[in-house]
Amino acid sequence: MSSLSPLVAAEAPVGRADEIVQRITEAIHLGLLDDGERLPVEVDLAAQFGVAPMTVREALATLREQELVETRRGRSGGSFVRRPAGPPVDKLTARLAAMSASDLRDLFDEHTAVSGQAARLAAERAAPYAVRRLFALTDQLGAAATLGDRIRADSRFHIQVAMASQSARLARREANLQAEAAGLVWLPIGPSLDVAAHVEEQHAIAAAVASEMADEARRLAEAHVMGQLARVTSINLALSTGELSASGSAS
Amino acid sequence: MTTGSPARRLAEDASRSLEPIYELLGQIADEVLRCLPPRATLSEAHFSTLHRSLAERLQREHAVWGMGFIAAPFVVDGLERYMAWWQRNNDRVARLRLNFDPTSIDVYDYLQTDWYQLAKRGQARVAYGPYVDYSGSDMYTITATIPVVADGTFLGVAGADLVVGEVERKLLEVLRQADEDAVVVNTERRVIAANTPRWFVGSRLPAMPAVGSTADPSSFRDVAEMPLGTGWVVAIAWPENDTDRSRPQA
Repeated sequence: MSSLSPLVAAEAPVGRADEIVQRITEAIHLGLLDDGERLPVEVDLAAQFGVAPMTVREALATLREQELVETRRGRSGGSFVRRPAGPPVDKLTARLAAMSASDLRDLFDEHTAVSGQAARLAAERAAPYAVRRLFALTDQLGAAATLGDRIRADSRFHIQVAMASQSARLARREANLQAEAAGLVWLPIGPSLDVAAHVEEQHAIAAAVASEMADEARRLAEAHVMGQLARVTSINLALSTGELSASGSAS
Repeated sequence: MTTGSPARRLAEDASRSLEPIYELLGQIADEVLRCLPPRATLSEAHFSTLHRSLAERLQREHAVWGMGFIAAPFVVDGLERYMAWWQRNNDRVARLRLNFDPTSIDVYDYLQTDWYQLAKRGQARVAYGPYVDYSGSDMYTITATIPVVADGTFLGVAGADLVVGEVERKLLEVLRQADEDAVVVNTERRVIAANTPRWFVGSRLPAMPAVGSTADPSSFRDVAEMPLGTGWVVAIAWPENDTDRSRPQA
């Protein structure tokens, strides 16, 4: 039974309202929280994040201001997710600009380790249903019409590989890495990402998992993640030299 | 194998330890059938007793993360997807509401899952998993289902998300009766419990366990399907022999 909330919970305790705001914001953009989904009640959210209900209330107020959450009163009331049409490009650009090239490389190092091992274990262990989901998500990425849909299909694919590995920890880790990395990988500024090649790479990973080729699955998954680092680094460098600006246009 | 074979005995004991799960599902199915109105079509309004009872059961039943009724298409209120499902989160029990908008990339399409499909195709008892899901407060689960049928019409499934650790514990208690290495695997040849570090839970055997001679390292001494009806198999291994294992395979 699927309710996405456990993937949203932090691995390390969060203390402040703005950290909760950030986690929920990322989860909404990645589709880990569905558009229109009702959030758990304040006490449950507080328990999930390990904070006081007051902190959650504060976070929800900020999310309402940002129009990411809508609160309805009455019997069928509660706080509901409102997904914006596209990813927050300006915020993502600012986040990438604030990173050093070595921060960026380190993020990709960790992501490579997690994705590679997840793919290897998935090839050894994946259930037929999990494999079908992988191919379905690959198709979804190919057919996605908007940037938001592409980001969601892409990150779902990665998370699904980790879920297919039978490791809940790897799945949680991958979800957290997606929250950090997916928006940067798909940032629509600078040199554009080759969507067709991206789909093809994921298809090859899914095929390796399906045919239980563990080493091949790992190699392909590692290359798939690391293959994006050069492009994201070039954007990072262009932002730091002012060649590209935070508004996404060449200056 | 005779009925007195050691694997058969373990399989029977293992089944007995998990039987209460399917008794619970049977009770949920009965409650769903009692909600059926005499002539009108089923609607959310008919399920108020069911909702109350699910919430109450879940408070008591700590081997389960969540349980409920999942409808076949257009059975309830003409909806393609409907579920009356309750979940435990940090000791609080709440109804689960999911996005069923089929045009959304996030749609949770339970109609495609094996635990729904197998029950729909008439398998009396399904146990799908263990698998990683976003379930309850944990993410590693086994989904058990049975079909809910009224006058030959498939209405949906009664189901429960089981706490894997609890299932493991019950099976391990049984496997520990064996002096030899013993393992329970599902129909995907996935290890559900083992009384030995020879196999890890969640990993897959190269093939479904089959009885064979001690010379064949992948074969087992004794194998029996659990009478539970889920296709799970108990297998007792030949003793692990280090000299045999280091010998190059012919």
